[in-house]
Amino acid sequence: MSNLNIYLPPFTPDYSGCSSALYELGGMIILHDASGCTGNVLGYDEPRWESASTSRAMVFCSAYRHLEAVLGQDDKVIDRIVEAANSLKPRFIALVGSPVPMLVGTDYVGMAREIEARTSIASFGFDTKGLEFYDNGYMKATIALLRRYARKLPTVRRSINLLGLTPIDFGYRGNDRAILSLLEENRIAVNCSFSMNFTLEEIGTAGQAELNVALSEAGVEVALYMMKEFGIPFISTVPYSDGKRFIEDIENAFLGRTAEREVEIYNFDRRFLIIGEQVSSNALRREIEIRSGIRTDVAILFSHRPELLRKGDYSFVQEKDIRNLVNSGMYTDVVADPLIKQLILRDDVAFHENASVAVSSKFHWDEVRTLVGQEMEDFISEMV
Amino acid sequence: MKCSCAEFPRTLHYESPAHGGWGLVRMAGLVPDVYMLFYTPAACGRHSSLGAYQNGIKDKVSYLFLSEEEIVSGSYEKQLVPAVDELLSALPKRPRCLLFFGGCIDDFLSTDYDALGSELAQRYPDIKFRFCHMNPIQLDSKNPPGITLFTNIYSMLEKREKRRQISFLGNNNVLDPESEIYTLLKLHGIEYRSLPDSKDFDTFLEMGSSSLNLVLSPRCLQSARKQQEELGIPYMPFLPCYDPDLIETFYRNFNERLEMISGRRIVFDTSEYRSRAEAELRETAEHLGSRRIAIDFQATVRPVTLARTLLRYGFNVSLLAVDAVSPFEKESFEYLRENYPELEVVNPLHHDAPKYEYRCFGDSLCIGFDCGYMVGSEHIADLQEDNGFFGFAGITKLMAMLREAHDNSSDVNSIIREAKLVI
Repeated sequence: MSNLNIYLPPFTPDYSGCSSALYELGGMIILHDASGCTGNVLGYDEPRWESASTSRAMVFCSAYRHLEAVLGQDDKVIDRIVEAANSLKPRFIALVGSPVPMLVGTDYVGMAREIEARTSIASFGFDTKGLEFYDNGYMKATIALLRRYARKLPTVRRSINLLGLTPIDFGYRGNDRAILSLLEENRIAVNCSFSMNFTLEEIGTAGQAELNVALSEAGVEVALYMMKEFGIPFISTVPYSDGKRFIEDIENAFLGRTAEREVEIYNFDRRFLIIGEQVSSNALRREIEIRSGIRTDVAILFSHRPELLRKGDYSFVQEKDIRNLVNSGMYTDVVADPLIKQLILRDDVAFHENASVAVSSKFHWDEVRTLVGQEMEDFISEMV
Repeated sequence: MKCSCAEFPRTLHYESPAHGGWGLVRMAGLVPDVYMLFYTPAACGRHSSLGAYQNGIKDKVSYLFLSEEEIVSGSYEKQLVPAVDELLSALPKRPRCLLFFGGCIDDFLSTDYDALGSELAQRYPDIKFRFCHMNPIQLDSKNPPGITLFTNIYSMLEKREKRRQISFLGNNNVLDPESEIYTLLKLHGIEYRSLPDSKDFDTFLEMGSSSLNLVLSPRCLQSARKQQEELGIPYMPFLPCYDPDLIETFYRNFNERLEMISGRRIVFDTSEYRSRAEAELRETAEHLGSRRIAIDFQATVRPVTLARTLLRYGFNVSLLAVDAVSPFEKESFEYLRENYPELEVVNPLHHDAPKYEYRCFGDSLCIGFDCGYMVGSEHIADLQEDNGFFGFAGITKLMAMLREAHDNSSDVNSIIREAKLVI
């Protein structure tokens, strides 16, 4: 019974990732659901919502009801959306899916087309289902934005796009600003910082980047799309501490060189397990291994790219797998969200808290670490 | 919109950061020795799971995540019994009852509850199993999730010999111990039971011995009717309010019902309680002076009636934030329409809510933090679903809360966080 979660909460779902990708752009986001899915997004997956009264964000619930689903009354939902859009004049309209509309075979794209025809406002439909992780919804939303607003432009040297930068993976305590400052200090221009601190207009310039930097697995999916459509190469990594290695990776990529190199493992007294998102966990592993020579494995909680797995990594991990891994005796140190700690039954495993919004939501989102700077330097130094 | 022409059309819903309340998981968590197993798509369980963490009851809740293939093929049904086996073997203590929760999609899947229930009852005869629904998709029906939850919970009661005892149905909080209702019960020598008062499952089951159910929430009316039919327990509805007239009438009727149970003729003189409560109302109105008052629908089960009461006692009620007018508030609403047609009414769920046009009410004293957030007030009386306030003593408690909120400022975001809202 691998799908039984006794201790951990379900993780951030696809529709929350979709909403997160669109949140700052001045559009109207409608969760096509009865109430609970909107509650997930706004209550637990969107730290920026607390300041909704000042940001004037427009996220709604379609208030879907049983009879509407049974009778296929999509027209009533469309009417409600059109009425709200006419009053609020959003930059765009996004209809975001949930389990019941999935079950009754809702045609989101068709509904979006009708909404756009009636309002003359750019409209999107996303077939998110509440069955996948946030990265999947993020990818769908960001690619839809690129399809609509971006085109291939002449390349601007030393310019990049950031992909996969959301509060779900990076919190809301300033990681976006810290990464942008680091790049600016190193004279690397950012065309568009998907999906924090960006505008619809900036999406239009994304096609001129020399390089895409995917900061999360969700970003990798978008980077693959941009490579195919615009021929923009990409790397996937995250800056830690002083960010030198991150900048080095980008500079190498500008020169067409790969930055990957074997790390020597020489400290066999300890072994780390990082549990979390794939790209940031891989980058943290590199920091740990380079600094300490301690073998570090990664267990991925959400979606993963097979090519980013290293031998010994774990994908598709469920709660039971995590329980087995952390209590297996293989690992002396575990780095993970604070809620994972309850699964460790052994006294000889050191636990290092690394909060993830996708796991513990508001309970620890104030503790999401700033990756660039002394806070992260101290965290890594203390661990190793 | 003005009260005289207030309407509540169906719109997209705006769920502000202040939206939410007890939620199913927290209400079900009131049952002693309960365990909850949600069988839903993973996403559906996130808010209830985190809500359970928030309220310290996550050790009573687990989740069986359904995949798309299992939903489409119906094979999830075969997983439920093994999931219970695995769950019970992992739990440190065996629960006395296990509540299953399907999500909105369960309404479309025709889960065979009877077959599952019989199989589980055979395997685990010491545990009561019930199938509940976390299905807000039915919010506009006769069986929304809150009602079916309590109908399921109280269906665990068995017919027992009646005692000199009554039950309160629908109070999520223990009723305020300072309420005069306890004095009246004592005069009759009648005990009381309620869900939040139940220290263990056996105490909860004793509610089956009650001679009267006092129904304090519309969520429990359906269950009260069923209990009357099946367990022979009559019921009497009385939704908490702060109107001295209504409270006095209630006590008169309630006393008559209690006399039938106790066989004692009791003269319950409420005049002293009433005059004290009315003095509090008048003094507080004077203390607040011209301070505008806003009332929201998450604060009390009868916000419209509260507005009427406060207006009658001289408060400057200026904004009523409700998403609808319940049938039991129609009379109060008509009174307001007739006597205070200029009173501003706003639906906080309306799609125009994010325009925040009601910021001009920012200096109001807000009863409930939902309207506090909406208008941006720093003066908030943190009343949620009446806080267990009851009777004349409830008026006194509320008035103290209003004076406190008037004299002091507070941060609405902190209040929202501390409220541990579940959606």
